[in-house]
Amino acid sequence: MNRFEYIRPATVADAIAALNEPASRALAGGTNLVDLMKYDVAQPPRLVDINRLPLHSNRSKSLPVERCASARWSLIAIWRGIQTFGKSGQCCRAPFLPVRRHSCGTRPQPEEI
Amino acid sequence: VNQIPHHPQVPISLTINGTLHELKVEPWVTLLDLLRERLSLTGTKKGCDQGQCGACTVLVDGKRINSCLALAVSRDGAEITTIEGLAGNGELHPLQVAFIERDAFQCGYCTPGQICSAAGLLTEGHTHNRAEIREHMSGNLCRCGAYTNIADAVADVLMPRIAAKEAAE
Repeated sequence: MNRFEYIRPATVADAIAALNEPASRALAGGTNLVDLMKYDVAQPPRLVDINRLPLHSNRSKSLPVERCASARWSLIAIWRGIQTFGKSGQCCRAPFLPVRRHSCGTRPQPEEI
Repeated sequence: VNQIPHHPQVPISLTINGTLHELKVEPWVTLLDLLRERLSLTGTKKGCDQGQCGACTVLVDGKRINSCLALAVSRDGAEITTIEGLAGNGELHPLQVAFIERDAFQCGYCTPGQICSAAGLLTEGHTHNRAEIREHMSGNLCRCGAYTNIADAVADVLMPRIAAKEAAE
């Protein structure tokens, strides 16, 4: 695995700012990124941990992040989802959230079940 | 490869099997390697080391994960239960008893992951029938092929509990 910088922004705005740097990749559960890093398929210079962002829904505080994979647009999708959540009172189970599940051809993993 | 010549270790705290550990780790250390290499908790096994086999399954805040794909720094503050922490008060966990009674292993290498995964499955509730158990244990491979007895052991413990829980609701 390559050496990288690890940051854990506290706010969505900070996370988006960090992810706008080309060297950054978002880290959620890791099941679609860390496995690739172990084989140097992915070698991100910086990981932005989005697990602690205040992205809570009333049904599952961890659902949006856990369902999201490690891509920049996914976080933005989450952020949009939160906006939707705020307006409608619905959970963030938006169709754009889980689209990268199993995208690397891996088996269903415990984190994804 | 090493584009960052020096990176300070990151201080983290983890509660592992009820004991608080204050640690300093490099960001690229996985939870699995931390458990095995730094804390000598070798009950958790390294099988494929790429998230395919489930041998490294542990419970993080009650939820089952592959510890080989979890960076230790990202789990800062978490409560972790490994196979070493399931038994309590000198008694085996019911799943451990069931695995012995059902002879649910051959070589035993996948067993800690299987048991931790089943413990996580208990809170998820997907254990209404055998097919459901097999599906929701499918992230844990057994190269010896002991699945029949593994499913029996898991069903012995989980199906009555889920049924009782849902009846109470």
